Formats: sequence, C-alpha cells, structure tokens
Amino acid sequence: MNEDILEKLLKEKKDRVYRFEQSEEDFLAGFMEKIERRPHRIHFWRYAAIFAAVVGITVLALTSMSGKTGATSEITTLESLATNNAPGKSFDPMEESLRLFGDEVAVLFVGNDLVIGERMNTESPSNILNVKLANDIELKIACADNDSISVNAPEVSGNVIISRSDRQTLVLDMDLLIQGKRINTQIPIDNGKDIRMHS
Amino acid sequence: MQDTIYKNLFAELIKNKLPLLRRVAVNIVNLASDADDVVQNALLRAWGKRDSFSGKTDALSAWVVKIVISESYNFLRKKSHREKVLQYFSPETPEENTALEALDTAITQLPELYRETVIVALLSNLTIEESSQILGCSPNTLYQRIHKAKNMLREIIRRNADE
Repeated sequence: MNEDILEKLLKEKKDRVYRFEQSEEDFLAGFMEKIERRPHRIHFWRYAAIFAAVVGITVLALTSMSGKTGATSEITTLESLATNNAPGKSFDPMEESLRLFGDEVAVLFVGNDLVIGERMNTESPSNILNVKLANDIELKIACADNDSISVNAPEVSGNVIISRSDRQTLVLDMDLLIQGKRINTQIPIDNGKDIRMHS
Repeated sequence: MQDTIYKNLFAELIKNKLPLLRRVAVNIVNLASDADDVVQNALLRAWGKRDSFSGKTDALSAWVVKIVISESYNFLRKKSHREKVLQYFSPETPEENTALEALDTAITQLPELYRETVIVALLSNLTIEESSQILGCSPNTLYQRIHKAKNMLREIIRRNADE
C-alpha cells in the first residue's frame, strides 16, 4: 500500500460522521446519576472484603484439602482444561460464596483460596468455569455470559473477559498472574465438553 | 480532594471533551451507540480511581482518553467475531468497506504507543499541539511517532493482505 492510499483511508475514517442518540446534556446527566449511586458500591466493597476474610476461613475449615501439593514442575507448557461445572454437591464453596456476596462481586477460587474481584456485568453468574492449569492449579470462576472480571489479590491478579460466541461456546480471555505465573491466553469452552489447550 | 470538586471536574470534562472522547471510542468500535457505552464505562472507571488523580482538567482529559482507548479495545475483545463482522453491515456503515476494515485491523495490531498515536493524532480532529498534550510528548516527538506509525500501518496491511 502506498502512502497516498493510506492517507486517503485515514482521511476517510477521520471524516466519517456518526450520529449519537444522546445529547451531551443527557449523557452528562446519565453519568452524574450513575456516580450518585456509586458510593453505595464503594461501601459495599469494604464489607465485601471483611466477608471475604470470614468466608475464606469458614470455607477452608469446612472443605477438605484436596489435590496435589504445589511441587515444582519441570513442565514448561501450559495445560488448560475447561469444563462447565454442574453443582450438585451438598456443600459447594462456590455456590455458598455466590449466595453470600451476590451479583456485584466477582467470585473466584484459586485451589481452595477464595478470591473476590470486580465484575462489570451485574447479571447473576450463569456459568461456573473450572480451568485446570499447570502444576495442578485449579481456577474456578463464576461469571455471566458476557462478563469482565478484574482481581487484585496476592493469589491472583489481572483480568478475565468472558464472551459467549454462540449457544455452544464461551471464549475465556485471561490475562492473569497466578502464584507468580503469568497466564495470557484465550480458551474456547464448549458447553459440557472438555477442551485441552497446549501453549 | 472532596467528591464535590471531583464531580465538578468530571462535569467540566464531559462538557468540554465529550466530542473528543466519543470520537476516540467510535474510531475503534465503529458504532455510535457502542461508543457511548464505552465512554460511560471509561468515565466510571476513571471516577472509581479518582483518588489517584490530583491534577488539572487537561491532565484529567489526557488520562481519560487513554482509559477510553483501553475500554474500547476491551469492548471489542468482548464481542464475538460474528458481531464484529456484523458491525460493518449495520445502518451506520451502509456498505462493506474492506479497505477500511483492513485499516482497522492494522491499527489494532500496532504496538500500544503507536496505536494511541494514530487514534488521537490522526483520527480525532485535534491539532498536533493538542494531541501531544494528551499523549504526553513534545510535538516533535509526536511527528516522529506519526511517521513511524504510518510506516508500520503500511507494512501490517501489506503483510495481512499477503496472508
């Protein structure tokens, strides 16, 4: 592509006219209304942090330790095994945590450690995703079909974006630091079917 | 800073800079309705982190522009590939334009520094001085980045066409 064609394309894109439905006054009013409601959410976070500590201790006390210990592995490739988990146990820490925290807080488990984060989607989580990573780290995420989760905890930090591609498939886009390991990958999840990905 | 002061800052930002914020967003997401959602989310994100901001309105707008760019690309990533294709057939883009689509794809593939350069300095109706303020560099540096960004765009478009 030569310079003239690129310049022409850039100009065409720059000159494109878009019609915005909301007036600037309505946009401002809408934003101000949202931030007026926001302080309740900030106070909620403080209580959520306290609850996280209480629930975390309770969950650890009630849940038996399972899985292998975190021995150093020579495996350098990443294995991701994703399934949809159908809750059916008599006590499920994830279900209990979701019930306690409600829809505004993101709930994740790294192994047996409860982690809470922030969700952009306020719909109830309709998916529980299990992702088994290298060294048997199991990551469990509760999310809605199109969701964006951010966490900032010692066990895990970063972002997860979940998109429903079609009725059958969710796409999990992870950019996380889990126990010192950086994971930056996209995983398609086929409902009811295991997907294993090597990278 | 008290919340009242922050509210006034954000209100002033929206009154003065909303066209710019919308332009930045719509250049990435290509639909006005989506752009408004992105700008709202970006402003809310900035509001949530307002305690870390302690500056003037111009610095706030530069900061928010960067959040808008980030939110716009987050938005695109959340959408399925099928929806992204459908955007190009929406009423606001009445005919398919593969050349513009190739440009959009190439912009997405630029390193972040040059992507911001293209979106702010080349596509947002700002002067070089205004763009350099938002991007936090001198006008001379910005000219160099523009030149490099254009070279990279041409190379990426050529490479994508060959694949």
